[in-house]
Amino acid sequence: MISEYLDALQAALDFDRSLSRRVRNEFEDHLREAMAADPSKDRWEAERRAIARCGDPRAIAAELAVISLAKRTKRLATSVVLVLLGVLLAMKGHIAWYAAMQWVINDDMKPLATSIGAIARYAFWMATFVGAAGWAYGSIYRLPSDYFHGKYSRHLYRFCLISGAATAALLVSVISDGALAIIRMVSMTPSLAFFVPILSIAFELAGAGALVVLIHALARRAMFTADLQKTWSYH
Amino acid sequence: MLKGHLDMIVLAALSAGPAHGYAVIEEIRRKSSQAFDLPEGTIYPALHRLEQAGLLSSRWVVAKSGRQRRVYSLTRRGERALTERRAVWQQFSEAIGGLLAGVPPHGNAA
Repeated sequence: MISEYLDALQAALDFDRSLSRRVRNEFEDHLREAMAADPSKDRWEAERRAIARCGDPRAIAAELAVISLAKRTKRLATSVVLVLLGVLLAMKGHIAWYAAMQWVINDDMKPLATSIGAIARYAFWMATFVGAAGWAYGSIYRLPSDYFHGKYSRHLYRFCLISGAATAALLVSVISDGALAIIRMVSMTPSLAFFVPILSIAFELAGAGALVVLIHALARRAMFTADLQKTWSYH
Repeated sequence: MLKGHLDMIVLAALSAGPAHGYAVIEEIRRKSSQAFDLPEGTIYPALHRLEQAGLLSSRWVVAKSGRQRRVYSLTRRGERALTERRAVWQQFSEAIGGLLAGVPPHGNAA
């Protein structure tokens, strides 16, 4: 009976493997302890009582899911800031490389490069501004003890929107940066030196792509948690 | 009503020293003279939330039974939070006590 209870609890928390393992171990210890403390000689009856006193596993999972979501939200907020910092360093790095290698843009491409450069710059600063706002919004929120899922869902929805806007601006910036690199290299003879800007831009794209994946995962988890809360919350 | 004060109750139960979930429940029952008998499973979301807020820390230990056991303890921030909440509760309790002391007994109301 205890195994079934623990399986149900673990299955309801399956979206967060480390949490589900931890909770399973904690509840197993709890239930065995409760059984040992039960005055009844009947093992089956002691098990039944221990489980009944614990409550519905899906209701417990619903509460734990919100806490897990809050942790992921803070993690995403920090990831946005770290990716922005990484992209900035990568951009500065390959710009320094262009200068060191004395790679210049052809005169006939300069007007286009200037426009694309402006897009890359403004999009990056926009991503930084919005990303910092998202970090502040995602980090300062304290999960109250009597959390109301509607209020928290609205907070998450806004946080996903802000993070999505920052990531979209970052993608525009990174793609523009890639276009600039192509404009610069298109008239040159390919060499091993090309790998520096190519790898740098690949790193930027990977960072922005990782943010898209994280935002998508958080939005999905938020929807799953909202469903769990609506169905099984104690509130 | 109990739910709104669960954080303070858990922090108070852990003020005696580190404990695992079941021991926290037992401590709450004992200190409240069995008055607080909440569904035992609700203690874990509270413990996890307080840990995330930095008011508790936790670690795995191996119990005498050989099972893995998660033991929670108050952090300095948790101790400060408990002191603050105690003071607020004391004020609240005195205010309500004063208010209720002036309530006429049933049947004597004007």
